[in-house]
Amino acid sequence: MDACRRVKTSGPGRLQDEGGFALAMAVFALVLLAAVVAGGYFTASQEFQIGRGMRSLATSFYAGESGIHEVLHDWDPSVINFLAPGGTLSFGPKTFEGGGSYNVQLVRVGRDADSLKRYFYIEAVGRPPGPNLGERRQAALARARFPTFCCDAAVKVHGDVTLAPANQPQIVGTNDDPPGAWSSATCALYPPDSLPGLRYGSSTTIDELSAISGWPSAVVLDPSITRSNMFDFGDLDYDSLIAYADLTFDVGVGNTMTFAGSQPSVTASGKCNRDDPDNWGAPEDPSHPCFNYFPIIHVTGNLVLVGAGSAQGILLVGGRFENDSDARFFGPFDFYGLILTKDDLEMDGTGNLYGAAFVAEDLEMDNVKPRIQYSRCAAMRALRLSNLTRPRLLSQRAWVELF
Amino acid sequence: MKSRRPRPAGGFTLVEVLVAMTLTGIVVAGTLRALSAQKKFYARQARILDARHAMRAATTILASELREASPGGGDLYAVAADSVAIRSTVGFGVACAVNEAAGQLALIHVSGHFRLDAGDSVVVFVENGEPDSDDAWRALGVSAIGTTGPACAWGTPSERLISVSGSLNGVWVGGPVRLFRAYAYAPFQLEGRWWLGRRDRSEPDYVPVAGPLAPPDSGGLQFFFFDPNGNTTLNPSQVARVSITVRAPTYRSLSDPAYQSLSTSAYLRN
Repeated sequence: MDACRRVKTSGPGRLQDEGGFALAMAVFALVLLAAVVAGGYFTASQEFQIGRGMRSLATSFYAGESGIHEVLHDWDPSVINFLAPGGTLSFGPKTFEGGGSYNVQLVRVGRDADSLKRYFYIEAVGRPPGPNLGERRQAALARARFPTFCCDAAVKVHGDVTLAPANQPQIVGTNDDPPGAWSSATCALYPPDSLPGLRYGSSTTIDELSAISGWPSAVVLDPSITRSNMFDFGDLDYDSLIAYADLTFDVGVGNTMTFAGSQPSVTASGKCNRDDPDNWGAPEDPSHPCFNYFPIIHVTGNLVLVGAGSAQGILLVGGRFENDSDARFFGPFDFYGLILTKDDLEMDGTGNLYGAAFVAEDLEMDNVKPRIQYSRCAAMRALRLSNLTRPRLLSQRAWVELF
Repeated sequence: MKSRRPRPAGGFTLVEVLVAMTLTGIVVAGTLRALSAQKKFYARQARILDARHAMRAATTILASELREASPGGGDLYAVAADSVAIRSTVGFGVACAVNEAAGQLALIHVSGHFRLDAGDSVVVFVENGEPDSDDAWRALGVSAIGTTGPACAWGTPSERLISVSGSLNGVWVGGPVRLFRAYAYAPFQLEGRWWLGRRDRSEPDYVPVAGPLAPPDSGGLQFFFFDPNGNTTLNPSQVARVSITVRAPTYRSLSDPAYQSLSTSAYLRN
């Protein structure tokens, strides 16, 4: 190139270009190079854009799917199950680490306000990070079901009933709602009714009938009651109830667990903390977020409820196969809901059971003024606000990707 | 009187011209060679991009179809190593009013292709009685679809009214309704190239939906079906996951096509 250039001085310190094509060649080469780079960049850019688009779509899809499952997981039966038909709730936006986010809208779809099965349409919109890039929609149909297995007496018992009259025990089947510390407003959804105080099997002996009251009669003999069908509730049984348990205390057969009363707690966001094993609801504090929390509690061994505490829920005492797990009230403990025990129910003190009990073996009420008071309100709230009413996706074709 | 010396004539010597021409030739030849190589490179890149587009399209379509299928509900009619026949959901809605006597369903939350010309079919969730054990899905022919219908049970306007041929006994308000068509997906040849084809199961001919793909003997489309335990299966009712592999040609030369491949997995949600 230098050979093609002629340069002469026309004065001190000045250079004059006389011609040549080095500059033109350099420009041409640069243009070529730019074309190559631009082509490569275009190709790479296209691939990058496509890849980013695919990733955005995948992020949107999984964000939306997470939204549906989070709504199902965080289901609050006391709110969602009681939406009126056509009622709507919104959840989100929630953004995940990494940028995906979702918005979920839930709609109660159904005809009857008091239907025992309730359908919910849950629609989620998933979005990737960035403005409106690759939004995807999906939906699922879920159904909540209100169980109907309770109750046909304040106590259903298979074994013997021991009521020491000197201790003034009471088994009351007639209505006395609202129970304990609850108000009439709490029980407004559940008109009271009355039942027999005791429903018992053919092998049962009862030492004292005067302590039992109910309607239309204090006691009812039910020859169909056996040890094996005691917890046969149609679609549900004891084992399937265990599968719904919120809290499980695996103390082991023959071992005894003592519980001195619920200690309701809340999460950082102010919601009832359902992961706290000491939280068995807040039955005596209507303003507490856990007032509507009725956990299903499973204890595999013996359980003693001690002191002046209280709790609520559905209490399952005993393992799947063992028959030697007792539930025992010791002191002025109040329980609101249902108690199902694989062995005995003993009430030794001034405690109260508001709701109903299913006792596979013996019922013993010792010491002073123990009471079992049937409460439709307590039983229904325990059933309808418990995990049993959490929705399940409909079988086979619940999930759909929307267009 | 001053004598003037003639100025030397301007221009290049023969040697300079030869050197310049040689250098120019070398530069031009190099440039052409570079351009040619670039052209081949671009063409190859374009073929690779086309192949990737085809593979992405094929896997996206198939995964989307399969993800929504219910094996237990019979949505997979037949499965094979390179084909699948499926009950494909093309529309969705929720029954918001049921007129059993007239055989009509009013729908809300409608999505998809509810065409107004009849001929499609629906599967409808049938609640029946209280136990969950009697839940079922019933396939019904659609005789008419309209855009106006009775209001939903809770008062909001419905979005579609479909008339069906068959019993609506046991269908509850709130039950889902899926409009479906029976499709078969398989590779098929068109004008010397292989494509992912789809046909209505009642029709003999495929239409291309993605491609071109590699020929079947080069693994253009491969399905691997897995049951819930992770074992391969060809039992349609047992499928829980499907692995889809597609290969597409990039044609280094017509006699020596190179292939790109892409695999994806789809878990069946229903």
